[in-house]
Amino acid sequence: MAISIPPIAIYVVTFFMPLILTFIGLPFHIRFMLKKGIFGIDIHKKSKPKVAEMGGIIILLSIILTSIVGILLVDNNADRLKIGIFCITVMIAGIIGIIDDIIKLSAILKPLLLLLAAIPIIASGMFSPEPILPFVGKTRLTIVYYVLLPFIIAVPSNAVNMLDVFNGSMALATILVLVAVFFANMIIFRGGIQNLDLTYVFILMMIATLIAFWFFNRYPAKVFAGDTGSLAVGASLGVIAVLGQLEVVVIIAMIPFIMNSFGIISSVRGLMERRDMARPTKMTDDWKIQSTGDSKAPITLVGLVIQKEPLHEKDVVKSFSILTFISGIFALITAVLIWLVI
Amino acid sequence: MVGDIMRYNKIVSRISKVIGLEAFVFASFIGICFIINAFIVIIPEVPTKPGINFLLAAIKVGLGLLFVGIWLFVWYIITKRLMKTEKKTKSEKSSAA
Repeated sequence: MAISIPPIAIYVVTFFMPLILTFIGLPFHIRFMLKKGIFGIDIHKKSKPKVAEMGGIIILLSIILTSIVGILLVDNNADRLKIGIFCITVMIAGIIGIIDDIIKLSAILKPLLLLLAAIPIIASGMFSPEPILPFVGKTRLTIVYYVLLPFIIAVPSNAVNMLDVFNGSMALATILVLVAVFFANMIIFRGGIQNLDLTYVFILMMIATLIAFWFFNRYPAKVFAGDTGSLAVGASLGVIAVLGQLEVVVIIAMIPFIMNSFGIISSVRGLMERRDMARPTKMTDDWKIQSTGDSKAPITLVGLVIQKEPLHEKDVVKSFSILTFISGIFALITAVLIWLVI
Repeated sequence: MVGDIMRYNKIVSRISKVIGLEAFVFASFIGICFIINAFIVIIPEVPTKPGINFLLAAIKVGLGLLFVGIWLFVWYIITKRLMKTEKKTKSEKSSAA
């Protein structure tokens, strides 16, 4: 006879397992990467410290292992399939990130490859092509949704990647987005955690992984996520949006990320790799971040934040957090407006 | 603690324009949803004529996407303009100095 595990136990396992795995795994990863000479230089510090690269590998491993345990814990095939889709999609984005970290993909090829990450979702058909809008309620997009689906994964992946520029910025901002989406899901579907809702499982898994990662990535960083981490984390937001029918809420919660991407794409007129762009910021004598004033440099969210006067790196990250916190509140208002019509 | 709050207050005042843009983006999205609900969703369905029904559904989806497209475009233009204005102000300040 199959034993049914209570939902609360699944939530606890899927929260604490990635938290512990990431927490234990990162120190080993950092030592290994530094020993092998795979490190980046943190240019925003006076001492120019060596920082271990590709910390996203541990994020990815934590998500994969927790997903496998999640598959073993749930008691129906539909839920197993959903967890599998989440894991495979995030894994595809992460592998694209690993390839990019190692051989440097072109600015066009990377987003194109990320479109492929949506294949498991499309192939499984485990989604509802009915995004819910405030006032309107459920919309029936069917064919159009299939066309848009690859972008729902590729756009957040790239947007998160573009905001991963300062110590802790990506992890902290994404945690705030996930917390907002968690409560939005609670509001829209009136669901407590007494029943098993996989959206909560995915969100808790990501929050836990990112909390542990942030501990090592916060100022002064000991590890960088690399494209491996940022693309995987971004893809997870896309999957949560699609499988949880929270597309609109996720877009609203990610306003600062999208704003940053818009700025970069509009100023460099197309897709361009960070390493190929002129630097938008430089350091002052007292090691604050200021704009270079280079007309060829991309216009970024950082540029807006440091426009009045130079800011310390920690304050730039605080600015991102404030902006994401506000967009999180907007996401919750959106959730309430959706709740009123469904 | 108090120092932290003061620091956050200072940062909020620095990024007030960006917060304003965020609020505009959100408000315009809600406005567009309202318009879609008021003018597009009310287009009737004709279940007896599947061909016409399909056409009407396609028009509804097309108009909805058009509105969302306009929203994204306006967002993009304003972000671009705001960022360019900031850059211009900065270069003017540095040349004056």
